[in-house]
Amino acid sequence: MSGVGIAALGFAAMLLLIAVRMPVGLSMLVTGAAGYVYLSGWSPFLAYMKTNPYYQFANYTLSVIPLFILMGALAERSGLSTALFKAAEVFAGRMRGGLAMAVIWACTAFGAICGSSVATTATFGRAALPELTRYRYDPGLATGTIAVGGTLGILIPPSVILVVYAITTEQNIAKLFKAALIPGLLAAVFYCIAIAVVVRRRPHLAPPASVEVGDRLGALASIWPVLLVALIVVGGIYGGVFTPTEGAALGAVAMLLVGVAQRSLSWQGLIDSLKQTAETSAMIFLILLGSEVFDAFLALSRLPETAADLVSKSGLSPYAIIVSLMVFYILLGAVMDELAMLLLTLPVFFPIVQALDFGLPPDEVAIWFGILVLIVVGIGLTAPPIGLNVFVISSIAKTVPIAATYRGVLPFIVMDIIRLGLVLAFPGLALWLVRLLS
Amino acid sequence: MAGGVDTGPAAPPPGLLDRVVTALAIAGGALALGVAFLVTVSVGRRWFGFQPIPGDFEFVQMATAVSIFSFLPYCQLRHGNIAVDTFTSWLPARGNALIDAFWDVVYAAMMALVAWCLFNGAGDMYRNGTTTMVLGLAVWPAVALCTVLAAVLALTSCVTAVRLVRGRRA
Repeated sequence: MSGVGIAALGFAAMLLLIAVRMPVGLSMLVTGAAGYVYLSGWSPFLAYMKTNPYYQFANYTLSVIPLFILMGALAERSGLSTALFKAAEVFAGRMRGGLAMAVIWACTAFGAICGSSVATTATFGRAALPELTRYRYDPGLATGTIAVGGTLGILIPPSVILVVYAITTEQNIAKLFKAALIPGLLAAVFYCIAIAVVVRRRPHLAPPASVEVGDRLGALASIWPVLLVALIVVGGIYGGVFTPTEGAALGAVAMLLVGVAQRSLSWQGLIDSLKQTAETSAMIFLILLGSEVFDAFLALSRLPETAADLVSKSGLSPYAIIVSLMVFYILLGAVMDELAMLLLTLPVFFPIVQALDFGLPPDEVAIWFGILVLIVVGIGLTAPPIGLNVFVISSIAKTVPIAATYRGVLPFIVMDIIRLGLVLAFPGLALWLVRLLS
Repeated sequence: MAGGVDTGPAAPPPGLLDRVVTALAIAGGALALGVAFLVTVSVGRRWFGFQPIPGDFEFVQMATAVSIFSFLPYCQLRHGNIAVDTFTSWLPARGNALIDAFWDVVYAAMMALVAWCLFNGAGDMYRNGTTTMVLGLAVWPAVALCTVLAAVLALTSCVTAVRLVRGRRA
């Protein structure tokens, strides 16, 4: 059988194993190892595994992932996520649907210090859900808003998904972070529009809240440390003052100091942050290890080159190809883990995209494609039947049926698809800031 | 599907393995925090016109590998790895527990293989005297640590499999 045939078989086997509940990272590892051994024999595989699992993790660029997770965990345990929500509530609480909008804006701010959507969803599930429930917000609207707000954790830089994209495709992380900012803020605006439209048509979903509007300066005073840290970290990375790893390290240390100085981070809170960092990072790195082995197998099979060659000779228009890739990602993302999906498909899709002519330099196409992929990942995180964020919020809001959350998510997905169309049609939305700051 | 959120019933009192694995995760997290401090100091020195800490990125690399390997057993202990519920959701809970136990055994076998390979890799590095570029640090101790942690992961995975068969999730 040809290498390409083996690769196709490997993909099928892996998807089958995932469908029978094998953990995603493990199924990539097992099928990748089996394919590697089949194509090149046992001894090259054993030699490859002697040092690869170590060097795969001993990676300066990847070290930003545990550091950004640690920064977010420390911020949450210091009560900064609750403070962010309270402050947003003071500003937006009086509007109809204002509490839901407050969730979106608090998630946006939190997204600037947290790179993980799961962490953001879990954080605001704990920080905001009790308040939304207290004001008798429709349960599906409440959980749906938090699930979607959670995606802002990756849509607003820093972003674990962009780090992984940058490493897989050998692009500049700082440029990707710059490109993500405008589409990310656009997401927050679009989500608020979705909330406004939904509660206008069905006002009973969001009863008016008699939030103490209190003094706005006081609200700002409680959140300035987190805003300052976010500004320094993201601004420093944008300005090239430090590398993303340095930014993440600075941010984690700053969050620890803020927590200690405000006396809001207890000893137990610190231990819990470390444990949370351990669990979330391990989950991500098992998938990274599995994909590394699977990609080594793919490279041996020569599938990526063959596919790129086939598509570039097909004579289809570049836009038709990129739109079909996006549709494919939305469909696959609905049933698969998004991180694994990217790691599995990028070695095949990225060479294809790089071979297309959009009238842009190849590195700009790479950045633009990264942002498109990020938007699709955001959709996949909330879309039925398998939306990771929805699972996370369901595990916190045990009384809300999962179907209600999926109904709550739908209007936001419509807005996401509109936003995807806009960024597809106007690459400048992603590239403008990159060009401006370079 | 568990995305790092505890959904299981209250766990029985932790045994020795649970305590060791949790302590390893916390130690790994403390190592990551230590890395953050090291990098911060290095950046600070650069800003104030001093030499940054030479070869700081080599510490970052080694510490990242070691801390990730120390995180993995904890994630497995808490069933934190992402798996996808598809048509298995109609099976009774007992059926799903047995499937998960089977995959835990496969994970244990795979990680035992990884530990074995890393053990040989560490041996090679010790004999060849592999060192890092800038600081000339020996690499084998870091790989040896990862070997031990991978073995702990394999053991943890066996234990979670046995617990699932006995009807315990955490």
